[in-house]
Amino acid sequence: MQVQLWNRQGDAPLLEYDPATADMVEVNRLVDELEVKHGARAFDKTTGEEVKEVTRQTQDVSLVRALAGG
Amino acid sequence: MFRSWYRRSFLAHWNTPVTNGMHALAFSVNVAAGVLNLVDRHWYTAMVNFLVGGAVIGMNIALGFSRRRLDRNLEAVRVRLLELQEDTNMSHEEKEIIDAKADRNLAAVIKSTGAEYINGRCVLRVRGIQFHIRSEDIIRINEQNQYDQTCYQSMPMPRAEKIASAILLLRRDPGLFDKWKNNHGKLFL
Repeated sequence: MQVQLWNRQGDAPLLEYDPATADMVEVNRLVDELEVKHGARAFDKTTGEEVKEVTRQTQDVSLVRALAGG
Repeated sequence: MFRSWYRRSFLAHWNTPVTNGMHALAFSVNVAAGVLNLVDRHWYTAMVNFLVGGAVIGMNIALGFSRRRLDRNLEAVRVRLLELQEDTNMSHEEKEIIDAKADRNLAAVIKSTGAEYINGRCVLRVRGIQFHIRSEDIIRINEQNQYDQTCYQSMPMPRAEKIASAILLLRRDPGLFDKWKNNHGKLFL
């Protein structure tokens, strides 16, 4: 499974893990760090919901970066 | 041509300490002269003084709005230039692959959020509010059919993913629309 960031260079996977064997606590910690680093929120593309906690059932996590007013 | 030059030149320099000082001085002198003329019962001269003072204030307000519009346009141009600069480093094939992937992401988001793609814009309905989302702007129509519009900007990303980002964020928090509308250039999640 991948955690992706949407950007102009293509959606580079920032994190890859195997949901069957991965330590989900560690995965969540890394996702939290990535959210802070990129000023983004994790969303599940398949449900359209914000991902508060990544579980083994979570699919297609995409980091959506903040948008600015214009 | 003169008008265009004057506007550009004035917009570039109107907000410096010197011009602000000159405007404040012109306003103060005219108001003071107006008051003195009122005391001396020179009504027409006093009226002219107050009109000039009012014109200085009005000019500053109008130029403030112009400047904000100019800043917004410059910011949009800057982001677009950044995108173009990055695009030139990519081959046509790479760009097509990235855009196709972005389109797939948008399609997935539209499907999962129940949004619709109508006439070149994505329509999202949240709690009785309709958002019409394009890559440049968002239109909001509330339950009373009142219409509102805002532009929005993203970090460089394909247009389809910019729209998808707006859909996901607005679905989670429709109040973001007002934040984007009222805070030019500030980021909100």
